Amino acid sequence: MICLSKQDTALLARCRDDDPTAFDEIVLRYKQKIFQYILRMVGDADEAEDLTQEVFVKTYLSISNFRSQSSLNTWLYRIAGNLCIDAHRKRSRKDAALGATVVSLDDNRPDSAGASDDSTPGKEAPDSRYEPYEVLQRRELDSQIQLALSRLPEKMRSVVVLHDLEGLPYEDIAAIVDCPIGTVKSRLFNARVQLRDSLKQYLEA
Amino acid sequence: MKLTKCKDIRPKISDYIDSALASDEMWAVQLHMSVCPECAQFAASISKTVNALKQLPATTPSANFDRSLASRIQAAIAAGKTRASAPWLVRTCRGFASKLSPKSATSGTGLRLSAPIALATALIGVLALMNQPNPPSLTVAPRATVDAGFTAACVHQNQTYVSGQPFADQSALALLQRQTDEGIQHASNGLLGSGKI
Repeated sequence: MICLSKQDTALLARCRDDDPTAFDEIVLRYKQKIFQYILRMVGDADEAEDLTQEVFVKTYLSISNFRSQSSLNTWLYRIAGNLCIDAHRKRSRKDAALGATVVSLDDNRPDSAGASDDSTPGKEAPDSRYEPYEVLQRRELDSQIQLALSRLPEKMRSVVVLHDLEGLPYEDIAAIVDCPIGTVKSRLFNARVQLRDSLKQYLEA
Repeated sequence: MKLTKCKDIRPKISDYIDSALASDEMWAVQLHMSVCPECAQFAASISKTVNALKQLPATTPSANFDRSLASRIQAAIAAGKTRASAPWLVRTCRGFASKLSPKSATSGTGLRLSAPIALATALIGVLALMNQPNPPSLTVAPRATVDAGFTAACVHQNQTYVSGQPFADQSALALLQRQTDEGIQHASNGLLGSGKI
């Protein structure tokens, strides 16, 4: 982590010196993480890509103002989180105007190849993930997870995505969402309990 | 360390799953769950949920993400939102702000906004003046000239008063006497004419 921070510091210094390759490196390093986070927050791949680009546009334009009081990682996630909140508000206004509630699901996920290590250690066949039934079942669960995430309050969703999907430590999350660590922990606990309740029938099956 | 009741244990289970508890708390939760199947079941279900979340497939942005991003950044620069077009302005504003108020400069947000606004307003004002076809003159116009003779007469009269000779000017005294006589004559005529005397 310290090593990463040092690399980020060096990258930022190069950016301030107008090194054209430095910003490319930042994008290369963070685009997938930020995209993933936004995708789980908004639930739509196209919107997530659009917002991810917006994060980097904002970063590019304001990088000279960045004062290194937080890590680059934290800063990027914070910009992303704020954009997600703005997008959510716009969507809510639009939905209210239409008089309908729209829950968008992520149906454009690539196949789960390489997504995780063997998640079913008890099974004999290592390729069971690729069997049609398994794939369908997993996709159904993924959709339900995304649906359950979208039903969480914004603040809880942000914390659970950052912790359980992005793997960030409590301290970083506290800096990103701008609240004490104790609040992060309680939001995470409540989010997990709500997700468990929403996914009960799928996880027990 | 007393974490023996379910209501004390449950909120700790999330941290227990993440191994984020102190060792004595970890031990207490573990001990409780060994004798409380409800809490053990609760922990297992939370753990299963977390595992399901962690197994969500990794997703990547589309192949043309970088190209599209480059276009957007160029568009933002063209629209004047750029950092590249005026980094000097940002630095100048920051320096200006810190000189204005060191306290505000350290605390940040307000001054970061107000200094550029002040500078921009000043710049707009200067540009507006420069673009005017007939810029307003700042030189002071001369006041209307006063008759030099009248001034000299006032000075002379003032000197006679100061020297204790209010009627040193004989011509003025004669004029005053004539006006007084005429006034008395006029008043007498009026009174006689009205028959009051």
